[in-house]
Amino acid sequence: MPDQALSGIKVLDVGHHIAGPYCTKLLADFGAQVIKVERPDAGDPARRMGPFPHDEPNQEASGLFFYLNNNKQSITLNLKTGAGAKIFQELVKKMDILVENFSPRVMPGLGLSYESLKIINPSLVMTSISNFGQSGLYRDYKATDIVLQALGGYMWGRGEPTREPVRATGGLDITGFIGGMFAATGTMTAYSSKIQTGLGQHVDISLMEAIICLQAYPVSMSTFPLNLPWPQKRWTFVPGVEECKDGYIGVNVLTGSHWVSLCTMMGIDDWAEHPDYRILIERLKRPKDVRDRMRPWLMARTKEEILQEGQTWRIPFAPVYSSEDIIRSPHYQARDSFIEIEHPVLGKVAQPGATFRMAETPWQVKNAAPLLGQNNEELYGELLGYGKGDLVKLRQAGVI
Amino acid sequence: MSKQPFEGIRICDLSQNWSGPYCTAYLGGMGAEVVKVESIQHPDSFRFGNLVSDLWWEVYAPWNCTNVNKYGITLDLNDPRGIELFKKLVKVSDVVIENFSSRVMENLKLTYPVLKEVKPDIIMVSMPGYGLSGPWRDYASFGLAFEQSGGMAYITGYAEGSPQNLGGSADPIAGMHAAFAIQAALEYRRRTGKGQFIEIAQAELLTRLLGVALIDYNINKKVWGRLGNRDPFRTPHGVYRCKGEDMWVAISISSDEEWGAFCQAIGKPDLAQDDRFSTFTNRWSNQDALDKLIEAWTFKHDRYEAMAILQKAGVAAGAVTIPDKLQHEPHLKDRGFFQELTRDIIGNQLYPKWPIRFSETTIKMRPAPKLGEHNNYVLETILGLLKSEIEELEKNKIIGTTPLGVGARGL
Repeated sequence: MPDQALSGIKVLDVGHHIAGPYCTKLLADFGAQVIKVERPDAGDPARRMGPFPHDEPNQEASGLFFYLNNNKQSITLNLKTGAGAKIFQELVKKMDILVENFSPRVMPGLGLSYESLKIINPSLVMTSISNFGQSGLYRDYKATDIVLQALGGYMWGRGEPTREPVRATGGLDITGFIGGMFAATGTMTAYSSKIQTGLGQHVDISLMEAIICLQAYPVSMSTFPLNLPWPQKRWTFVPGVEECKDGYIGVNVLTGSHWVSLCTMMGIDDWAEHPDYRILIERLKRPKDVRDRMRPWLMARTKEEILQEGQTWRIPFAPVYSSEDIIRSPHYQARDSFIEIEHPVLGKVAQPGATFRMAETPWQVKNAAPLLGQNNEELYGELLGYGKGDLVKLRQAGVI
Repeated sequence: MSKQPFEGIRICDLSQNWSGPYCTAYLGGMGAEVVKVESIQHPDSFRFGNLVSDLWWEVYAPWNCTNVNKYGITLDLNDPRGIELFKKLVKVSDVVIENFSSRVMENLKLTYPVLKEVKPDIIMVSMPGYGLSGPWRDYASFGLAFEQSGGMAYITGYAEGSPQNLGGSADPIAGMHAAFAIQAALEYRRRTGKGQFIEIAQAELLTRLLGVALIDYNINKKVWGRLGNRDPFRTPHGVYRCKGEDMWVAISISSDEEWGAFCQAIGKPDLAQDDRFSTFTNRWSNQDALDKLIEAWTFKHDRYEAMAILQKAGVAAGAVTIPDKLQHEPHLKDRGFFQELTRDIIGNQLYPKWPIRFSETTIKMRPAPKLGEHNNYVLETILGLLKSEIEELEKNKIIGTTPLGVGARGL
């Protein structure tokens, strides 16, 4: 197996659901060895979340788990037992990195706080991803994606001004992915530091703060001198996402010259310099007029036609693609954006390929997402010298 | 720990706007020497956000926030002398990063094979919107376009409404993945001495986040649509009106236990026994009635009050905050998430920190460079040019510190 960028790095992963697993997915997909530690009975809760084939729950056939856990190995371990916690500490001794995304009380409650693990392995990098961070007023608050979007200022600007603001990306739970992304970046930084100094540290990732960072500095926009506040409650654009013949198209007018080109393109030249329509602030005052004027042109053309025509004018139109559109897209197909992965229960299923493309050390899938405890024998044997008999005893005692 | 992880690493940063600069601001904060290369002919397009004052190219808030931790130089890359100096800089750098549209580096003859000749172990990161290959390779693009063509907008919006933009998140998502990619490449180079070329196609990157939806299509031919504020795994789940003008609270209930706790918290314990809502399935089918019930309660409370009552009872709830007032948010004040930096021209201002904290590594924050501020430092100290050579460059407008005019956006 050719050397990958992160080959040789050993990661112990008690991440669950999305945030921890997306962080370790990035590490695993680029070569790190990632050992998932899962609860013996049901494993990572993501296994109980679909999509499942034919919507039939099966903890070895979860689409979410299948996507997030390529290249990882799975062992089972009950951290709530004394014996389990001890085994965990033995494993930590042999690892470079530990990733977890429990609420902050959990690991200390199991006797596995960073302070205690640091004593066992001073060069350990421990990455803790939590909703609000390891400190602060809301530290022990409960949250799911919509709560984080709400508190992170990520909802208020989206939707119609007369009704409730609307969540980004629906049931995708995007805050978990964003947190995992920052966690992977921070983990690598701490790892670099450890290589230089021999010492590890605790990396603290806050999902609420992560989602704030997805916004173009609204606080600074409102507090810096000489910056203009957004003119209305919700951050809409007019034109914005508009209906066309076969779906929706992003009519993205960013500059004055885009607007003039758009008017020529649509045959509404009288509006190119019109004070009521020339700039966004003015168009925002009369969205219905703008939409009524543009509608006939838009409804006579498909996304693809508008995209093509828009290119000659250098207007950054974009088709609003559904998941089906993406899979069928000639552009993504030409780039081999999706690869088929063979899974023992799901069979051959296509999923997104490389997150990004490294020429020397490409993204790879070496194994599909593991079955629960698939690597118990192999890894407990290799790392702790346990034989089959030991594993049987541990299983009977409810430790693995 | 006195030494930062990336001290001794030099990054030659041609990127503009937000995606690339966000990446290099992070690495600069971790000790890398980031040399941001602009030109007086075409300053960073992000500087053009606010054209109202004399020094308009220094005042835009997003420009200032995303360009912390960097040195700033100017070089006219349309002039052979500018290209020569750029290559001299690459020769003593570790990473080159750019996020231009696909033809730009080709036209400048500064592609990876060329830069590899200059420095064999160079790590080069390109961040073209749609990638360097494929039918859309040369398409005009920017942040909102990626959200749309990357599948994110389609699944955002009211259930009966049209798709909505996320609001410009593609850039920081690309920028942070770039920071991860660069660190991975540096780690590989540490072990092997080899650099490499990395391509991060921004729209394609978003389709990775959409993976689960794509798999649902591949397995079940199901196309994810828009759910509004409802959720496939949680009910009740939504955003409810509170006391005051345009004030809301988000509530998310994931289990029967949490539902019971919610009923107690709002003073209606018998609701927990109500057949209409006793199980997930029942709550799911009766969401309309449920939402009305909930809003009858939230409407009587301030959003922070509602959140506090529910959180105390162990229910996930969060006030919908107003994004340009987050500096007043009690939790963020406690965390010290916003910090003040002082810079010429704009004075003492608020900047967000990173959502990443380290127990040992310090993150340093320095204000953004003025246009061409570090021309002398880089040209003289790093590249060894004489003062007379630098004066010549200024005379010929290959370097400078004032833009040549408005409308010279991008490259």
